[in-house]
Amino acid sequence: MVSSLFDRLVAGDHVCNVYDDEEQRLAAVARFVRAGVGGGNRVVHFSVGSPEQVVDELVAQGVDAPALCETGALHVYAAGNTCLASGSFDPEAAVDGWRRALAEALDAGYAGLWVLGDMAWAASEISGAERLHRYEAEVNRVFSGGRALAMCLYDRRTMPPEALDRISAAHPSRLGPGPDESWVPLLRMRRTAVPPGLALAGEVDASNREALAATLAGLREDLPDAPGPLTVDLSGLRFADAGVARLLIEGHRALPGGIRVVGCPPQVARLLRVMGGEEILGAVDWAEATA
Amino acid sequence: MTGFDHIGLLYRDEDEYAAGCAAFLRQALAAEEPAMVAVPGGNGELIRARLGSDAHRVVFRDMSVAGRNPGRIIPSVLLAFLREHAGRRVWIIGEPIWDGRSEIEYPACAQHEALINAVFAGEEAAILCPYDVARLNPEAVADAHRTHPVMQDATGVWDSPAYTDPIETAAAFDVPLPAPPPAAAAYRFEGLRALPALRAFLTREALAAGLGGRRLSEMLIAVNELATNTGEYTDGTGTVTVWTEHGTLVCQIDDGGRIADPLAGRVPPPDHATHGRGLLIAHEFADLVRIHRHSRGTSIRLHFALSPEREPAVRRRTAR
Repeated sequence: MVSSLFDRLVAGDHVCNVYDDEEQRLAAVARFVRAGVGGGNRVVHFSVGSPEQVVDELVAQGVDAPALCETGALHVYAAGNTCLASGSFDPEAAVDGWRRALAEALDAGYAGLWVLGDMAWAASEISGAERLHRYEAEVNRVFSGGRALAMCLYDRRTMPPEALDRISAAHPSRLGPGPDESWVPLLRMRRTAVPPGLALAGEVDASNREALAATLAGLREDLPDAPGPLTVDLSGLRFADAGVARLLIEGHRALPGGIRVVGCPPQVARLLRVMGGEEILGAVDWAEATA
Repeated sequence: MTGFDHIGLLYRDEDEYAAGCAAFLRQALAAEEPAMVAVPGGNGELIRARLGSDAHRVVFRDMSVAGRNPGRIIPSVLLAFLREHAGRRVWIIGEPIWDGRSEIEYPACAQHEALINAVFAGEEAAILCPYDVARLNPEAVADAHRTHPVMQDATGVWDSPAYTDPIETAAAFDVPLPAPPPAAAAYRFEGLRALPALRAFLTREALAAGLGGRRLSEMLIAVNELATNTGEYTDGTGTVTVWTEHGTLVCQIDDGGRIADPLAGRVPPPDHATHGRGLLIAHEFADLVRIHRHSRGTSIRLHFALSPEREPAVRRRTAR
């Protein structure tokens, strides 16, 4: 059952979903809406086509979209009519928009916010590629808060593979094209309140490291009231490359109060040492690392 | 003395070994300068015994562990000691070549000896490399004359006429690698996006070969770094071939790239550098790294011992 894959999404995820035909796109939209609403979340979909067209497509897929729109569980906006419009796309404004949308969904009693963005408009907007890239990296800070998730739809037919790989690297995980029943997100990042910091689970390499970079860089700003160093918990991490070690070292140096690493696997500690991160090794919690 | 000295010490027996090494170290101790001995197995005991009560003033490391991979010796043994004592002249006895180094290891050992000259040029350091002329292959002894500007034995010290440009000498040891066995598992990858699937392939092969736990994690880090370099610096496509050979898991990565810097992987890049660590990390985690540059690109072969507790074949000798 393909829908089970979407049921596996949890708040905090930010997925780059690549499709290469209309059938895949329609199926992804319908399954996302069904899984999101089914979990008590508000679903917001930015579409390339008109909202009316999207509602018709959803009805054709067996989703009672008119009723969902009526209750407010589903919002459909055409990307061209919003701040995502190519001409005026402002990454910072877009990220702030998601923070407000999340707050509104929670206020309205929803469990969380599920965002589905069809990014096909981006392909035609070459001059906006840098801004889109910055947006996709920065928006991780919203989702790593753990109450919202996003799936960004990218059309493989309209983007060169290198451009797609580059934009995909700003997402913690990538899916598709086509259904893959064994899929699990490559990386999950969640901000934690106790201790204040960030917990990582999964794998980080050059294919998704930028997502971590942006999240780490914004961590102090996103946890402004936390005293002392921020805790980065690596205990759920199955793989981290040298770039991750570099990010931790840089984060320790750059973030006010520094960071403290817990659950550090021995091979990552060895990487930190090779990378010249002697001072962060003092911040590694060895008791937990060897537990 | 000032500047860099790199001396090949030819010894015929334990007595010549201990005498030559102790005389070198006594110069360091007399000048109250930092000294380190990195020699294999029990050879350190011969030196300790000869130094007597001064031995505690010298740092000892087992080269068969710290320098098991000869490509790791410059960054993590020699340069590490130099940087630990920044501003002072350091004295190091380094014995990277012993009777028991395999044919596949030897060219990497000789390259290491040659590249020491390039890396340490201009540094305040003296490095003495003992060569056991009674047991080593005569070719290895002849090569020592090519890689050391100064030679020494029990009778004297002389400039080596065979010593030439170290980069060219190191390049001369870049010899073709024996072909992988026909049954070796091969995995072709394209782009950084393929890294997770490449690691899944490596994990399956390593577990089937008996490499698990922390060593498996370290192998994944090493090969992943090299494949990341393929993704970032070449047309993005490469092949990883995996097999077992003489008690090691071998992972070879082939791509169309060229490694321009002959010292890549030997010298840690500056802290702020975002690139240039792939080979350094491969040297750190692998038990042997062999690199072959050829007309179609570069082959990098990493060996990981399947039973790390097993020491390489180093003769044990006791002080008389």
